[in-house]
Amino acid sequence: MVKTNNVVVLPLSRTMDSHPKAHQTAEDAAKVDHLAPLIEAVAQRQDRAAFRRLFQDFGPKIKSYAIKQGMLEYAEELVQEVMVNIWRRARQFDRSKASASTWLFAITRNARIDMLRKLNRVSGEVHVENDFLWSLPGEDEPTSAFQHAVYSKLLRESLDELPIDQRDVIAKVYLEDKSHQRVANELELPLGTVKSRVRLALQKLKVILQEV
Amino acid sequence: MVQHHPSDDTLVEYAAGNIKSHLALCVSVHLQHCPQCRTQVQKLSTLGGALLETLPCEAIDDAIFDRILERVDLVHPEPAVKEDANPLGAWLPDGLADLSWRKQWFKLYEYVLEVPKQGRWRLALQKISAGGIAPVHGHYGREVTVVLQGGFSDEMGVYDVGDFVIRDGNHNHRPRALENTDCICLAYMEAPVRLTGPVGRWLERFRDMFLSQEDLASQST
Repeated sequence: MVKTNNVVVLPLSRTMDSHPKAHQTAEDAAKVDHLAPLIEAVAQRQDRAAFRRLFQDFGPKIKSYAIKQGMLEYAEELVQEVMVNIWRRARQFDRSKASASTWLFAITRNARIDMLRKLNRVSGEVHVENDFLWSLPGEDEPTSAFQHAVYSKLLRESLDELPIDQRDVIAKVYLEDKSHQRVANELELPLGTVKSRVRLALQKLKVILQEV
Repeated sequence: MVQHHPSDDTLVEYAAGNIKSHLALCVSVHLQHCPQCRTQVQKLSTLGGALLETLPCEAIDDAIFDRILERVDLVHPEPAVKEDANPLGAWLPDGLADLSWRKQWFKLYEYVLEVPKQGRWRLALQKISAGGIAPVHGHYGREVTVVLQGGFSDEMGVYDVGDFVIRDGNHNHRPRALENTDCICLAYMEAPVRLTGPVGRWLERFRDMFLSQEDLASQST
């Protein structure tokens, strides 16, 4: 059953031919989503070796994210925050609800928002705990872990196929903490143009998403 | 049935984590009522994950890991299932029951959740008694509303529980609560309400006397 679902997913992407692995069994989910078993090992038995591998694999991305976000001087602190939160919340990770990459993104994003608040870099904020505002991802109806993993992977590959101007705008919004308005100011483009680039990009990515 | 949703850009900025917390609050309250937007945010977070993976790796000193281990020794892992996180819980521990509402107009009440020490925004619950009508008004800034109970209608449409509405300052409207149930909304106002009816306009003449020059300047832009 899982397998038939996969067959539905895959033909929608032009990248399917280059990834015949996606046709294989659910055990391959681990290969597609190699960080998921590490998070689970931390959850189940507080496995420090797995935790170290997570740090080695994912830590450099967190640092890179922090630098992009303009938090160079706090980059390693953010890495620490995120890793501690991964340790604390590992049991809440459920691969039938989100891929490891989605979950880790949410943890990282929330830690960044938390840190900005602590550093008082934000103003005029309402006082409510961040976790209530930005909850961790979880779908209403659990899908197969394999689907989430494959979907994450396809999305990553579809990103490469986006026109550079669209990809650029999306990356600025997600990775550089910029609103559409700020991206527009920076690129000296009308706000409408920025919004439509994002929308076009999302439509292209959604083509895959919607029909899953 | 939720009919009015945050725009795509708002959901994108929400998922990316770069909108102001008041807007995030309104979005997260909407999400509690809207499976469609929950799915959308999930997809947008997956996109965030994919983008994060495209970043180059920045070398980290291994000593950092020792520090992390010291810290994890001190924390308790959280349980697998977190109790239901209600974003409004901090202000409304008992939900919408037994609030001391402040009367503002004939059938219009307000319960303030938060106002800043500096600045003019306002986070509040607004209640219009069943069948009641609020005075015609506009806003000096943006107003974000999420319906928590009952429903209301105005010139633009009908709004039910969970509906998310953003109105900018130059929009005048006259909300009317649906019959039978009191309508309660979460409302974030960037700036004060501006009355625009015949009596309201007369009252508004006096408001200018109390506004600072800076406020007046920001209105004209």
